[in-house]
Amino acid sequence: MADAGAERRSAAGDLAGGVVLFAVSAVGAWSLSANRFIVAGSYGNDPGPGLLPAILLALLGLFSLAMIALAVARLLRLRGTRNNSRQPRDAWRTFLVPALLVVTLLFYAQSMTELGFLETTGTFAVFWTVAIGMQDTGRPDARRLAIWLLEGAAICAGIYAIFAWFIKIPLP
Amino acid sequence: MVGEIINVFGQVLLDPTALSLSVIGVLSGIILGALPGVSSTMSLAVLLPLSFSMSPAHAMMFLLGIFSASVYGGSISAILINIPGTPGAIITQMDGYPMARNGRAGEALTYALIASTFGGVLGWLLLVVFAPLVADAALHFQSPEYAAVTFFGLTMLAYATPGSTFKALVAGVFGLLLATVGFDGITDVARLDFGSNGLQGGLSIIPVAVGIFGMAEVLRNVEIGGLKFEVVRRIERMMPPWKEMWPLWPMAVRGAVIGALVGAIPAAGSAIGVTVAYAQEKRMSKKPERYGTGIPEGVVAPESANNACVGGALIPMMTLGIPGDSMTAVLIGALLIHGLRPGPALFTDRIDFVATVYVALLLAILLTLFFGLIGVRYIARILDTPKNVLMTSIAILCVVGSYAVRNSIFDVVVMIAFGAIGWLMHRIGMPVAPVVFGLILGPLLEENIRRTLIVNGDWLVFFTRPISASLIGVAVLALLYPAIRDFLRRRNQLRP
Repeated sequence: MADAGAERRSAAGDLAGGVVLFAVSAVGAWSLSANRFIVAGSYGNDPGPGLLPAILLALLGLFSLAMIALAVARLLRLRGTRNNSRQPRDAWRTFLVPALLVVTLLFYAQSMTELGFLETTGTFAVFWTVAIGMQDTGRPDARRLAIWLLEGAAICAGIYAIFAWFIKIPLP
Repeated sequence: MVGEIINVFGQVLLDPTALSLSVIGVLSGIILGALPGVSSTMSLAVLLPLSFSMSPAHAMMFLLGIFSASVYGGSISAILINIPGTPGAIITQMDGYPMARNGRAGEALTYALIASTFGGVLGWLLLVVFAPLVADAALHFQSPEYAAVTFFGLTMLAYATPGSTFKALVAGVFGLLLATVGFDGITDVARLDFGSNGLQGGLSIIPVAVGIFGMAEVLRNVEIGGLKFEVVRRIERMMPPWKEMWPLWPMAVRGAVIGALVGAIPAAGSAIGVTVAYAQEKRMSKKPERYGTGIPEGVVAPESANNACVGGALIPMMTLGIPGDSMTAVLIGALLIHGLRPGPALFTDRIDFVATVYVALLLAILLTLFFGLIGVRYIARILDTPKNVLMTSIAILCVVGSYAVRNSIFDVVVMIAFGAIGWLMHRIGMPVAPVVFGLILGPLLEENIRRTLIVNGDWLVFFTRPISASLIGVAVLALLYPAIRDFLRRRNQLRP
């Protein structure tokens, strides 16, 4: 086996994916069964609005169980094998920046209508221009920081100009 | 049809707005396609909202400019920094980058450009010739045939998507399920809406596509910091010797035919087309060991195939409403926004629009050749664009673009959610394109299955009509093929 560590991480990913998809199919099935209008929608030869979702939820449930079973089988097969490549101990750190981006995006989206487009977009643009810049090149000196701040402001102004003035889409 | 194309071409040449939009689309496409980490689909998804306020014809000039040019743009970074700008350029780098390292960067770029143009034009010709024939045949389809075509498209999608067929199938089912969220089109009963007003209206294709193709890529890019590229900056002689160039035309033809055919298979995509074209040329070569060392043949065949895929992918999209690849999936979203549903009816009701699509694509191919010849040295400089500026801009464009669809924050939240879902799917090696394909094809599948059952009252009708039975048969065979192949291989290995 080329890399037991990578194989184990891949199997764990499949297991997590299978569990999430099974949860989706279970919640969907509950929602469909609790919907009393679904049965009322079926008349004559029409199987009704519940047919396709029911088939798809059943398929998704079966596929997710298969994913879980295959992943567990792979993990059991790998039990006791040693990782023959350097294991990134801090793999969870790779989740940090994307997770932070998702959280800030949600804040940005929710506050856009309250605070205004320019204010929220400017803050978001400056924050992430500096954050990604620091992620790539490390701690900046004053000159580089000033450039990043200007770039962030320019991104905000440019996008506002394109959407609000050029193609006239109403922004909050 | 030829008369209509000439007529529209004349109108476009006299319309400065249309010409400008085509030029802007082509330049944006080349630049974004060349940037590592920005795929063609991402470019199209992120810039799509700019077309909302345009007329459908102008929107097509702009979007097809991006679509076609970004495919060529992908080869620039493949040749100069050994990182394909787009998935279709994945093979170009194998010989393009060694050519650049050997001091032939300019020639490699020209080979890529000429092969791209040749492939693009041949793919365009196949589109113009075959699309009306397919549309004509599809006009005779009734609900069972439509349901079978959609099922066939979805199955091909799972079969042809690179990576695990099983995971592609799971992603496709998930996409179909998403399509059933909200009000049912026949009875107006809301399903899987969890009491949310936003979900009752259903999931709009654009926010989902922008999230999955745009935001997910941004999240992938910010996942790893400190990425550095070694850019080949010396671009000297651009024109390769004629003696070396002329014998390569049969490869360009073969590459283009393979690319267009593979592109026409729903969901196959350019990555498969270029791989098949490259493998074919290597197998036919008298010196296959030279492939991968920096020879023009290794650039010409995949680039020709890559661009021919564009015309091929438009055939199922225009005639059946089935996306040929992830970019045509985004284009379908754009057409729906403009109130146009792709399918055979377009060829009878809106022949002027069909001709506009043809003209827009041809113009984009010719403009790409023009700007590629005069501007590739300058375009190569944008490879130095800082990642922080690029990713921040794209993230904001994703937000604004999703908001612009219906002026709704709910759509922005949907986009962010699907960005995160797409990123997590990448992490577990599950292809994301089937989700969007499922979302597009879901309503077609459901509507036609139910119409068939309402009229005929029996599932057997799908197997008694020749076209639907054949399509379902091929689809089932395609699904079972990997298992049959493995079984036969194992049996052969066990034989003494």
